Amino acid sequence: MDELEFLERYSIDESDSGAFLKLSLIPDNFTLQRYIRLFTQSPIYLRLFWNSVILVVPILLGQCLISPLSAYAFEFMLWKYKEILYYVFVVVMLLPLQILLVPHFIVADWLGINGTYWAIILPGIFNPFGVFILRQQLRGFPKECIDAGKMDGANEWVGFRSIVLPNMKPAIAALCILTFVEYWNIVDQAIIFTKSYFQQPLSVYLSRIVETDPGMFFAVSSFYMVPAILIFAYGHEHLAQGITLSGVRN
Amino acid sequence: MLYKRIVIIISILFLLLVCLSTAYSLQTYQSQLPVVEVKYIASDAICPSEAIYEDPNGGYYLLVVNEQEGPWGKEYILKQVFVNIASKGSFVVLLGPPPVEPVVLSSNLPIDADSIVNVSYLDN
Repeated sequence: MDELEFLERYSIDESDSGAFLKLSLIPDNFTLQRYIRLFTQSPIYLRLFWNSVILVVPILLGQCLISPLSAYAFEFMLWKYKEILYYVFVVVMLLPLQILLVPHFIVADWLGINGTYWAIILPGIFNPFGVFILRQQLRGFPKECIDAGKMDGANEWVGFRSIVLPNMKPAIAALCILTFVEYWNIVDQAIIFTKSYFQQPLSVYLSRIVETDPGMFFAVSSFYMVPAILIFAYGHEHLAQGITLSGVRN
Repeated sequence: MLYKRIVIIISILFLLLVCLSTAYSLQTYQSQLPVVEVKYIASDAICPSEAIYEDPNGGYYLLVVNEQEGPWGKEYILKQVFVNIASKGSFVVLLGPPPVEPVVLSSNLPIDADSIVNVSYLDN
């Protein structure tokens, strides 16, 4: 798509005609009709929106549970081959999604979860990116604090929960934002792993209606990006802090 | 702190809006669908003449009801089934096997093939 075509498309207003009107970023005839249609007469958009929520929320919760524990185990616990396994984690993380889709599909088939949300949720929960970003955060964490806790009688779990976890909050918040954005805009996995049209998230549907109903596409897109904006607005400080890995230092 | 509270309040309002609009749109969507009266004719191959539609390109067809997966569960969609008829009066005798799906006899709103409808079954 060249720049002119992009600007033409961007300048479509949300009037009934849905046609290319003129080359301007702000439409002349502004109307909220599409939004009214979206909120009152289009259960399909809202159903697909809830599909996105159903996909993203378990992934976020799972990541928040699994990734800190894994990162802690990789950084502070002593066990054989942990660096080799971590190296495998990083390699898997660097592989493009299109390459991972085939093994994901095969494993989902083995587990009998193909065609269900679990085929997307489980790989999302165990995504190595979360472990990577949290372990990077923990690299500068003073191990003496954990040792001091252990000398006072704290076991491994108490050390993790009471000493390490509170200091990982910025990184976990950053991880949540990044994971949310990644899975909120999911397309490839949703197309492959869901069987029914009505199982798919709204991001897939948006990519389909851009040509057929551009006015509705813009209205639904605006609606669809609100949760991402709100999550970013809430945690943008943590995002910067978590990504720059400056949460905890000696 | 005030900034975060504002974001939380907006988030709650947004969630509330989506929940309410989901419930409302679902209700209005269901209530605005045409209601069709249907009947099974598979046993006798005779159907009332109001169930027969004449195709502009020639021939006759029935509208039958098929079940399909909709956004919020099962929904009913109309499909065309072309038939040959032996005679046309107040009742029509169909040549060949009649459709196994329920046939539309009447509707409270204009309907066509691929219309989504609510179904009301007539006693056989």
